[in-house]
Amino acid sequence: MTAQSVDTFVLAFSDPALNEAEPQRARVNVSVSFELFNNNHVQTLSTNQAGGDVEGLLFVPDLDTSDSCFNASMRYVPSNVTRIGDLPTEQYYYLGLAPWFSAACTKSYLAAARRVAGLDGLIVYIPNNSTGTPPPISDGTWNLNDGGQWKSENKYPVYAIPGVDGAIIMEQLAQYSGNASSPKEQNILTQEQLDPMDYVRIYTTFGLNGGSSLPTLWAFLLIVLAIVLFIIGLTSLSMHYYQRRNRRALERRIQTGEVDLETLGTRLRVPQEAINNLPTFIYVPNESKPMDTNKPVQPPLQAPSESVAAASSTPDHTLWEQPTCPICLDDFIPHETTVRSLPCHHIYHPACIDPFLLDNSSLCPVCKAKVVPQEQNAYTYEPVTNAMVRYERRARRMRLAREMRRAQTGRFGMQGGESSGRFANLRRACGRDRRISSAPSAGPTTSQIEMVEVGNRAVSSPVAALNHEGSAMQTRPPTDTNMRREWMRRRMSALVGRQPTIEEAEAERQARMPRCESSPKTVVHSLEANANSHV
Amino acid sequence: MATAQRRITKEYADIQKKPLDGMRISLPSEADIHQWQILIDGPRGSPYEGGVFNLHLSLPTEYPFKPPTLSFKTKIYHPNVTNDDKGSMCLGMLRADEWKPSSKVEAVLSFAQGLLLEPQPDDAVEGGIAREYKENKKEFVKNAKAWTKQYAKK
Repeated sequence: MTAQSVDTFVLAFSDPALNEAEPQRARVNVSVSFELFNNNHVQTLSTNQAGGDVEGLLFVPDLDTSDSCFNASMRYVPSNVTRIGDLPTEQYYYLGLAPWFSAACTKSYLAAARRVAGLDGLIVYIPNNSTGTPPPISDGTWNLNDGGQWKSENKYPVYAIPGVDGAIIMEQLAQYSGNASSPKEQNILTQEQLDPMDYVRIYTTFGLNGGSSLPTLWAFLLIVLAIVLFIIGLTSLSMHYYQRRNRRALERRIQTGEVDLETLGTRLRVPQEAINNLPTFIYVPNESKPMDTNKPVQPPLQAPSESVAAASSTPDHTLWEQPTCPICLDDFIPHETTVRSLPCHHIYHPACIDPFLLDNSSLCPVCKAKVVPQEQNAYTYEPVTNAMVRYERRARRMRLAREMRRAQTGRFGMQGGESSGRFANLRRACGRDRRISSAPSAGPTTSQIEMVEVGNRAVSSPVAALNHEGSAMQTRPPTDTNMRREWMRRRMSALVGRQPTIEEAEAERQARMPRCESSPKTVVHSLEANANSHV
Repeated sequence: MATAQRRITKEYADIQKKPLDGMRISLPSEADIHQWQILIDGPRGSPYEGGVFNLHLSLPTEYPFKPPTLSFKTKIYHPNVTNDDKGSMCLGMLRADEWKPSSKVEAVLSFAQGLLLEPQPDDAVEGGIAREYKENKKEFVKNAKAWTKQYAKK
């Protein structure tokens, strides 16, 4: 930090050694004392440790009497000048003042100042120099012929002031040293009605610049950076937490069978044990009569689970429609070829179907029916990913919207699972979307029941809301969770300004005309009927 | 993969025994049965009539568990074929999650032929051509005929 200005004035203060409750400290009026303010005429020779303020009581470092400089300095330093011994030993920092008249003596002064505890810096001046500004730092005057080593040896800042100023201060320093021969102190003490025990000394403060503004800028940048990092970290952390929670939730729902993994675009594979549980038979052509020797030729390696055993005990050959294996396209040889029959009654060479189920898919290659019921949890699959969570959420929303539309239009007596399956088939045929919900129609599973329930709620809430308010937007959130969710969704879309989807627009248009022949009540009723018939 | 080799050989033999109408199938290299070359005549009644289209069918080693890929080597003005060096054809049944191992190459090729006769603009890969097909069929037919004449000469 470089010094911008230097202010030297007279300070009156109580003796810190007396340990008074309220130490007195006051600047003595200039009219009776002395002040020298110097702005812009200071050179910073060394900036060591110049942190914070550089200020302190002024003194002249004591040179060794054996030092040749001691005598040399007599020309510039009055004998009754303020020495370190004239200053209180505690509570204050000190600034040294030294004439710079030769390199050797400057070194002596630097060393002498170094010995002072509580030194805040050293002020030097070139005596007998009348210029108003000390020479620049690059000037040869400041060269101590040691390659700048003195700067690292002396861990305090060194400032140079104009020679004229230095001489004045040096002269004043003799007036305020507390010695009997410095009468000014006594005058001031009596004039200002101060305690005779008080000190009156010269005090110097430096105004620093440049360096002080830079750290604040850095601190500001660092704070901004820290805040940004904190926000990023917090966002990332909460996002991770949220995604993790969603993954866990989906995992749980998969385990309970509420969500069908195959609908998530995941390829499931069947473990070897589950494949072994699929029954094998000797192939018998469709037209021939079932023979009594139709018992499993290859008893499964493991005892089949009860459900599989029940299904395989009566193989219905009339359901075997294929004379060839769909994978290798070879014909089955009647009464000779061993075939594996999947629950959908499609048959294959075990050598063909097993690797397929093991490595590729859990669906029948012909009809894409499930090979193993989900309840058995007999799948190997990758861990649940965020993509799966997103996919499942989208699929659920689409299903909900579809349910809503159907309930609102009311008249199409489509059944839940069936119609979604039909939609899915349509989409698949167009190849535009991935399988969204190819729910297999294997009886009312929990997911289907849940689906109907969800549809029921989703539909009844807007209808109810509209019945009460007669407008599409309620202003206060409803109390029921599902109604609140619906209300939130509508509010959000209103805020975002999203165009309502076709089904929503249709729903609202319908709802706005309650005198239409299909009153909301009947809609709800028919929906319940739907749900009941479905369950 | 022995299964793949056997099945492809069988399918190739079947298809040579009972060739599809308007199609000539050959193997560019006898050593590699996974790469097929197909020459399809532009179906009668379509703007591609009179042209011969060179297609390349690549059967993966995991076939029939993984779907084959079909690409046009001859440039064609069609909403369902990419207009680039690859000439990839968008067939729903060839998508990884739609593919069934029981589907045969024969069905794939028939489907491709059908697509020449009747493009599916709703399932297009070339949006511009699809729009033209839907909104300005006359212009589409003109362009398709011009391309056929230029690139798919017999």
